Amino acid sequence: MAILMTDFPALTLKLNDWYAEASRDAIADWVGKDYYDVGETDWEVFNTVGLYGLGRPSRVGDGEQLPSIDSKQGDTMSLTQIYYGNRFGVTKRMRKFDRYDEIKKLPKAMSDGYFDSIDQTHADLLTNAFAGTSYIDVFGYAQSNLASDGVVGFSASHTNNLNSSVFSNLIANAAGTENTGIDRDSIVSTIAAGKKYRDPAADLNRPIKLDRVIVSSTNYDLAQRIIFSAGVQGTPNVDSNPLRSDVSSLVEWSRLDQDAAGNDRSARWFMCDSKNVKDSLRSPFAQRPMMFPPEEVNDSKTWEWTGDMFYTLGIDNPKAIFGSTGAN
Amino acid sequence: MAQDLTKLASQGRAYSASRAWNAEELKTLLAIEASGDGVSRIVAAEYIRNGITSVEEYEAAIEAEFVPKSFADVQSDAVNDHVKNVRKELGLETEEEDKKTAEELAKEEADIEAAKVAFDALPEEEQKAITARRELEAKAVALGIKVQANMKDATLEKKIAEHVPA
Repeated sequence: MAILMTDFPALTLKLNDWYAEASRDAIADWVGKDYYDVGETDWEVFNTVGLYGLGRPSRVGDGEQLPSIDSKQGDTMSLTQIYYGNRFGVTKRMRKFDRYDEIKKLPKAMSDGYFDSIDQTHADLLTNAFAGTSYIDVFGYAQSNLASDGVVGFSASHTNNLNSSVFSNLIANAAGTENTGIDRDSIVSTIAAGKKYRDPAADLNRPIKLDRVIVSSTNYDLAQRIIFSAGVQGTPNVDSNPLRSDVSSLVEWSRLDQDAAGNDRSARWFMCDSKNVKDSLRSPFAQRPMMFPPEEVNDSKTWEWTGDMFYTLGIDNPKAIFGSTGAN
Repeated sequence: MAQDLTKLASQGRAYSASRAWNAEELKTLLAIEASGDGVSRIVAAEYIRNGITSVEEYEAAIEAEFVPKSFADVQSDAVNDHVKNVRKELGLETEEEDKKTAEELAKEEADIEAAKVAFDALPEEEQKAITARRELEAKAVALGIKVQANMKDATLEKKIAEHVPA
């Protein structure tokens, strides 16, 4: 039986259900949301500011007034919301011949389009943050790959505004070789480097606990063997493998294999402090991907559902994520 | 996404308000800073912006007593050059005029400095009174009231009160 104008509310409900179902699945597969701060915001321009030196109290004499907290402002950054959208049409033919088989695919395709793109932008910002100042993103526009200190996201020379010390968030092995391919030595050395991190203002050890390894699908099997084998991987050594407890989880992210421009990025891998990585990777949403019913019928008699969203992304203080091109 | 490049540039951590350091420049900057003669990052940045690309070049520049130009210097030079060119085109440019302008500027600066010294030498109460009077006059001028030197404070206050909407 044909879908008539009187069936519009019922069709809208069905499309909404299908969109919600598809979105639920897509969100579950959206790896980037676990590492980027994807919280909602009302701000068109989302400003971030780093703080150093918080939390170091002073010794206080009896009856003495407590000193005000010694905080030092770090770098700032502004993230401006960008609008994305598209639409699909339920044509007269689809309605006349009751083509639910075709109609059902449309909201799912829309939802997948949004979440796949978002997740790819999240992966691409990591895989493209080793050189230059920008790259072309999924949507065909230039995206900055600099962190809030003005240095490319993964660098041996991250600066701060308080002193001349520099900080490296490049994965390196015990010999100091940076951008190594995934191996046990590099993971062990980088975990240790993270733990030795000192706050530039307070000059206190504030360990970065790199407890998560993120790899492409290409590297996943090797990474699993390095981290989870009972003994030390690739050797006849019968010692137990301590990485099994140091690294609490290994994440396979297939979007790291190739970026939106088609470049092979499969050798690139990352380690992060799972508790603090969202302070380093920002992707605020002013509006999550949403689908809206048609507001009017156009000349073609096609009922057009629209979808849109507002979001943005960038690298703040990058201390909670380390990366390697895997080139060495 | 926008880093605050203006602030970073002022700290020597970016090339300019519109461009970050490239990898080579950043490497040179940090090498110069770490070279041991106590040069700050801000000063090291000026050398790189003036075309220095290595520690060796920096050391040679120091030996040759090369003084790098800052952004402010370059901007000011560009404005002065532009003004000079325009004046030249209009037939106004003479060396004597330039000299005179420089002398006038120097005199003006000296007068301001002398006034500051004289003000600082006054007793605190007198300084306060002068500051209060100046503030009152500024307020009156902002409201479009014509201020005369012999006008009393009370008169000024009355005129200001009349202008401020209730």
